[in-house]
Amino acid sequence: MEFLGYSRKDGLAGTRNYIGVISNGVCTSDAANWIAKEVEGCVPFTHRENCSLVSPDKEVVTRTLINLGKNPNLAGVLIVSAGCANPGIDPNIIANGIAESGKPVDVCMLHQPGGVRSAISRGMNTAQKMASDAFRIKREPVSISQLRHGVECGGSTPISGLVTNAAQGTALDFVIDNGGSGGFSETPEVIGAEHVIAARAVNDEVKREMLKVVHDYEERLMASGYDFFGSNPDPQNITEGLSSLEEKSVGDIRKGGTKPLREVVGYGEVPKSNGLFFIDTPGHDLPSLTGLAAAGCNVITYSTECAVPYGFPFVPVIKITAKKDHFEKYFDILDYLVDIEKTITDVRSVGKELFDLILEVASGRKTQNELIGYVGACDLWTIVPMT
Amino acid sequence: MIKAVVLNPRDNIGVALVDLKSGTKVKIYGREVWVKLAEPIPYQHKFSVTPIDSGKEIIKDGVVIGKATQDIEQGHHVHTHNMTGLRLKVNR
Repeated sequence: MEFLGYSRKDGLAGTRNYIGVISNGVCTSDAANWIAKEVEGCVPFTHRENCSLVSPDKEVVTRTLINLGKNPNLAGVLIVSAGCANPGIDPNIIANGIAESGKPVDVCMLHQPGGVRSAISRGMNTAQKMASDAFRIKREPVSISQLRHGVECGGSTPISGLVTNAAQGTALDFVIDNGGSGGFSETPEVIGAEHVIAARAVNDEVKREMLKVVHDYEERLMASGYDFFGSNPDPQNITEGLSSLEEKSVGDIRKGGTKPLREVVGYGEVPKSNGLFFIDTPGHDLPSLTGLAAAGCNVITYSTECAVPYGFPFVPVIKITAKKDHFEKYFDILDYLVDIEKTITDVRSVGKELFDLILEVASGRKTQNELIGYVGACDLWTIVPMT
Repeated sequence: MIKAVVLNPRDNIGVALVDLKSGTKVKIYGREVWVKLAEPIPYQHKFSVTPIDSGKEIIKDGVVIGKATQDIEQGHHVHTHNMTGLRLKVNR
């Protein structure tokens, strides 16, 4: 089975063909946004981290930015950095890491003689040359083994657990059965149901890792001393009928389908094996989406009963809901309406429909979020308290 | 039309797929049983399909999602007023 993708030098294939303009730190967000806005074919990735990072966050942010840059949906990458004496994250380490993939990478330093605006202007010229070259690359049939499907959920309700996540989990099963790979994330939203996923691990090591990431996350939350009921599950989750974090988790893990769990990967890392993987991320959807993109996911499905507006800068996000009135009202940010009764009685037929949509989007059909350009949200995960 | 569902044979709660009125007898998809509801059950909320004693586990989709904080008779709404989760509990 194949889809129409963009072949890359490292053997991967993209479902999109952008130039990524990646901000090294929060101080260069404006410059990255500015450059990407001015040059067609460019997308910005910005985040809030900066010079004050300490280990282990420094390593996590570095590898996350490198692996975001390596995502096959990017044909080339421009790193934007202040270029000051205290860069926090070294832009050259990021650029060299991304360059291992064989794609063009350059660094735009803002602290240059002639002022910041002229440095930005030179960055635009570099990005334009990269984009011009990227537009020569054509879609071609590529094996579905190059499809990496990320699965996300946000704005959980009992119905999203029962139906919408079951639909995307079944679609993920189809991706993997046909030779692709994929995975899910959001560690705290697995608490209470981690044994169900761990039982599907391919060996004891993967099983231990699955249980460990959940245990460690729960320990960190407990150590804070705060009561998270009312935050996760949040007030809307509770109003809709979710009575505990475990109940949310029971619905959450359905999005991971039914295939054997081959690997548990750390935040910002890329899975080495094919098949199903789990990424250790927060339940917050923005850093979670970033984790999926850094893992090399080139298409994402996202169940959202509360109609979360955002997408992601360079990975198409197919948004699905079972809420018919939302689907009609917010038609411009939702892509697929899940039939509740059909999913309960015949989940495979619904999963197959979603799988077909995934292949269409992977082959170039734009998502609703892409059509209206609502794709700007991005964030990273760090765990050390801010100083 | 399916009005309520039980996901797993171990489950002691069902999920309403439409707003269900008090006093109605509901046929549950996934289990050959009718449950007479003692109170209204809002769309996608839970109700007990068997009596659940205080302190007993609440099971959904085969997984323990908490325990009953009071005796729950059959056909009653199950939510934060009569059950609690067991994980991520911080004693301050």
